[in-house]
Amino acid sequence: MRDPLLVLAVMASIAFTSRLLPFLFFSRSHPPRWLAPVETVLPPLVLWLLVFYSLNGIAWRTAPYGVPALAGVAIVVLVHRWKHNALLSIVSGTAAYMVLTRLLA
Amino acid sequence: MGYVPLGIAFGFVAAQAGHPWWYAVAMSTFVYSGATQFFILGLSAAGMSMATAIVMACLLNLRHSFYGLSLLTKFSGSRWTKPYLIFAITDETFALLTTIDEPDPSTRTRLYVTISILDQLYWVAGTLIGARLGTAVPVAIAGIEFSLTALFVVLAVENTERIRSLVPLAVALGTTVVGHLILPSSAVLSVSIALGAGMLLLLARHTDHA
Repeated sequence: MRDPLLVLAVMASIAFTSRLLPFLFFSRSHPPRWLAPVETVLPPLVLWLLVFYSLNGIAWRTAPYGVPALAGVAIVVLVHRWKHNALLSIVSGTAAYMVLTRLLA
Repeated sequence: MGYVPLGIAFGFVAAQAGHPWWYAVAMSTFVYSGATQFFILGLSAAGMSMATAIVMACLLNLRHSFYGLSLLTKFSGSRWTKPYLIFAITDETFALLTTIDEPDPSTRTRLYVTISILDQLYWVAGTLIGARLGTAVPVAIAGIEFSLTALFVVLAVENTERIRSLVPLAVALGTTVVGHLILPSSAVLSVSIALGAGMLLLLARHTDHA
């Protein structure tokens, strides 16, 4: 997957299709009731799974035992619950990760 | 306005990853999904296969479908602006549109379109600023890829606060740990989603009857 324009086109279609789907399916009818719990519960589940998936490349058994990543995640959670500012949370967590990676290397 | 700084961050990281500024701006114009765009940057760094990348991108975008479900009736009055309104569904726009209480359908659509266009303008402008800044700072910053994880965490925390339940987090953690013990790591994500969704549905049904 190397051609940047192909990547752009594929990702743009995935993003638009995901937004379009409910409007295609339920243009005339109402969404079925069983979808309600899925609607509330699935997004947080998928996002937490993506958090864990993105930590896949970390070597937990060798020093620094994933400490920079765990600390980074903890800081993002704390800062975000405190200020609810996405940029501040992302920058502080990433900065902590970068500093700890260097210090513990 | 929250999209200006986040857009700057994206443009900066994109430029640091070696992308030309116009590519970052094109992403913000046509993909217009922060998580997906950061994911595209991580993808070239991680050397992920096309199939894995597509599956992950679909999962990542799945929440937009659920946002759409809540916007079906709100968008019903819009005519020719509807395709753009649908294209412009994002985390922040969704949050804004669902908190605004505007009963009059004719002024409602105009308000929605204005908000959606402004949000995307902020996002694209931020991207452009960030990309120019990132090109001006020539030193690559190691560890910047953690911003993708950080973005996922931010979205996960916000969604968790909205539903006020730690059950999805617990289920995600459980299926990931068990998944890594018994499955090849390439299969963990898709199996976890299927398993976790099934478990949550059962739980939700159970609490419904209680």
